[in-house]
Amino acid sequence: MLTRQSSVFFLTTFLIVLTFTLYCVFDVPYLATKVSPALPVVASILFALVISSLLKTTLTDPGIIPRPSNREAIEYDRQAQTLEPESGNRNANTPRQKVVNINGQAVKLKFCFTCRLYRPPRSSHCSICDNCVLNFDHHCPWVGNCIGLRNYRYFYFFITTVAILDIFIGVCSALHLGLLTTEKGTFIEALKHTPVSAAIFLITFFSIWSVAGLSGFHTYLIATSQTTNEDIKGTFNSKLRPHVKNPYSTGNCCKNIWRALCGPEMPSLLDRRGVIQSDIMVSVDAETFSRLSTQPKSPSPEPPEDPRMSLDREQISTDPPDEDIEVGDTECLPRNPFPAIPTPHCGTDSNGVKSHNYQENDDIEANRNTTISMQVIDPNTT
Amino acid sequence: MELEGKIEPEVWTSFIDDLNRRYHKADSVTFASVFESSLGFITCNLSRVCVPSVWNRALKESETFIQERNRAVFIPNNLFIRDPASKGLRVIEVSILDEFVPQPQPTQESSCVTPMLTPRN
Repeated sequence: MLTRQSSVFFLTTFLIVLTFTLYCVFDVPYLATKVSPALPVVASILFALVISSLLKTTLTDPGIIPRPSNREAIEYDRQAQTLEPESGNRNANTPRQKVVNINGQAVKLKFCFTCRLYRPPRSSHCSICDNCVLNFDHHCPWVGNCIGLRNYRYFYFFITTVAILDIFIGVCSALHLGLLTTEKGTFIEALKHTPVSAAIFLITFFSIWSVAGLSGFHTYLIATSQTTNEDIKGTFNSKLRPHVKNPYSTGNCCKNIWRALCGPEMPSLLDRRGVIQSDIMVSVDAETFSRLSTQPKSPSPEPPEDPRMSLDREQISTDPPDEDIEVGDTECLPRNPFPAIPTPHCGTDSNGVKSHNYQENDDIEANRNTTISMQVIDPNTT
Repeated sequence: MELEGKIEPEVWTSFIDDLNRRYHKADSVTFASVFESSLGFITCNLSRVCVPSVWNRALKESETFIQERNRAVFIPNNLFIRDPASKGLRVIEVSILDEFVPQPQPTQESSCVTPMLTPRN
């Protein structure tokens, strides 16, 4: 339900709840007395699992990657410009790529121009949700959410439990009709007695094929450690690309399934409840401060380094800028990828100047300019 | 490398390796993660409300680790590392501390006091 058009999700919920309610009202009284009271208990447990998996799938953040601040985006532009100097038809929208090495396989990371970040491996941009999602599988309209890293196992549980519940209810209603037929003599009599059971049976019969097919397909995907996206594109298809090996697979089907379903759930990278911090105060002791104030100023900003890309660090060499770049209020800047942007600078007072290294809070809702200011802790006063 | 003058490469690489190791451990299938997943399945995911997850613990530990490293190693070398979790685990932001602002004065008593309505005698 995290997407814009979520009406199909309500349809899904309505169908499941309706089928189960009809089953409870029309089939259970007969079956509980004639066959076993355990049947409605099992059905209720399955129904609870279905609903909880569905809600968890829908309402869980699939692994949306928070968008970088303006400062980071400017830094990416600067790096792209310095790494590949002007050549030919290069413009601001030429696709940018980084290549990293995962488990011996070279993987290309594309730059997402909408989100202004280099997509981590296996992630993709969902145009319906307008987000880059980690381990993007697909966007499921029935569930009303993207399926990504964080909610894949709940999605898998949902489709498997729905398949089991579907089969269970179908068999129960068929059993009901069968038993009634033996009682009443003809099938038509039984049908007249409980027409709803036939309706339930038809609903379950027509929906089981797609759901069971989907479950089987996703079981195959988990066993081979691929996402739907990768399967469709044939990224790791051995026939299309025989030289490419899936670096995310352990090689063993059971291990892959084990890892996908029993691994830990990553926390959401979006900070929905965070409060915007306007200033980050770094407290230093007097000795460091005195050392600092005697040193000459160093104006070069730091390039951000990606901790997740590979275990051996990438050395990005950038040239220090020729002039003092003071990046002031970056919200006012148009997205201009070229360096040496003189910007208006908020006033400084005589005691100190604003830091060159601005850090901005990464909250998706707002991008505010923050400063790093240092506080001198005088041991005499504390 | 911009950091060359500021800090030894071994210190930096060991710091990054340590961070990577923590995240890798948090991501791997351990007894705790299996327990968390199966408990969630059994309780229809209500256990998430009560029991903290493996990753949350790992992120807290790495936050304290980064703070401690900042205090001990990086700030004396005029560097400040921002927790990657606050950046969505995309980048590690390293800032060079080269300027300062004086300690902000504590705010004065609020000068705009709402006028109290005194009853007229």
